[in-house]
Amino acid sequence: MKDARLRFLSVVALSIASFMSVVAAMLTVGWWFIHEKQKRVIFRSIPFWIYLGIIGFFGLVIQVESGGGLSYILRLGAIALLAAWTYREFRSGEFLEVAVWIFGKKVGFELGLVAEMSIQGLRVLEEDIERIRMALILKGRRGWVRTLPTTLSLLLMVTLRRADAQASLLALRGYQKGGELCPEFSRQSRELLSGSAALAIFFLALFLTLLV
Amino acid sequence: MKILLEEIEVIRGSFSLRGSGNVFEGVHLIWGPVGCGKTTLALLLAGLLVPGKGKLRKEGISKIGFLTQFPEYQITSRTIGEEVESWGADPARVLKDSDLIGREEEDPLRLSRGELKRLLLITLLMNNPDLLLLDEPFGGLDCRERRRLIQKLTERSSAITILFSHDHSIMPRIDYLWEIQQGMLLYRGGMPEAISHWSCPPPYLRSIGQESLSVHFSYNDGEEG
Repeated sequence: MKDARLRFLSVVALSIASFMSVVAAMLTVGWWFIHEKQKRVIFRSIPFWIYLGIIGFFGLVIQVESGGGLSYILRLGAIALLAAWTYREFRSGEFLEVAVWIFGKKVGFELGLVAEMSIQGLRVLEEDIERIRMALILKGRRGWVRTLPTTLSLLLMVTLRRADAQASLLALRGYQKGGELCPEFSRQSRELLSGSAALAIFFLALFLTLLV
Repeated sequence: MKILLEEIEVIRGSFSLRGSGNVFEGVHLIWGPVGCGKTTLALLLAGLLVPGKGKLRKEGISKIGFLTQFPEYQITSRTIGEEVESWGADPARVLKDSDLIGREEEDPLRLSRGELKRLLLITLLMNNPDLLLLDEPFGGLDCRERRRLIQKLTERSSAITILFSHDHSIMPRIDYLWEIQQGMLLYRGGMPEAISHWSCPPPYLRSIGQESLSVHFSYNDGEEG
């Protein structure tokens, strides 16, 4: 989906729908299967499987304690899939453009900038983890459990230091509030159909919830 | 001790690197402009990347030392002392040699890039690896440190040392020259004959004739650059 506005709208609508209804969650997975051409990329993502594992664990606990664990796994699993897809589809600057388009050049710019910096921080964190992994291999230390506390504290320190440097840079450039941006979007003809399908799933979920 | 590269190919996005050759004991210089694929090749030789095609075999190499272009990426410990220990080296000896005595409890990320590079270089050299890979080792080092590194590299024997660099203003004694051009790894030969095949030799060598080069290199053999 090239048009970031439609993508965000679809993701928000499908996430709410998946949370509300199991049927909508299954339809969301179907929607994703139709739209995603490179499904393997997400299935090869380790963080995605870790997140699914956490959902599975809590789902199992809920199932044993009070029932309804399967519904939890299906609904949260669909949301995790959407989140992984959104993260992979994200292009630098899109959050800023969408936020400015929705909320304007003051509040929108602020929100967009925070979102951009957060997402870029996650990307840099991914690179940091890969570099630390390589360094550990070179040092012949393959037991990740033993090195986990040091690695996590190191990542935390590096992230805090980077945020500090970023804040200083913004201040140095005279950033105070808002900014000038003229967002531009392009889309393919079938994207409107995809957005409409996502909204249809949302309204179906709403209808099913109200019916119950 | 040798590395055999058999028609290897690495593809990373729109970039690709291909090449064949045998890397024997001695000091090798892999020269090429910025962005030509030197780091990719270094990662490949370090075993951190797998070639998409071809074979890479290491014979008689059990210990590998790799200094990346950005040494801060190799830090995995909270203190300088722990960092040296994480490489399996003796902190007391390394800190003494790196002029960092009394700073073992400091955060390694607070060191300047030059200091950090010096620390890791000395750590790696003390481990005496069979294969030592140095990606742009002279960047961030002052003249004194460059000379000291050259001296240390010259003292290494019966091992493979590979320098990846675009900077040829100062070099240790090189035994073999390689170049990366348009995604191809090309072996230029042993020194000093390889200089005549070098696409961009340093200016101080360009003006010297082949005969005088031989004299220059044999005179400097075993000494600082």
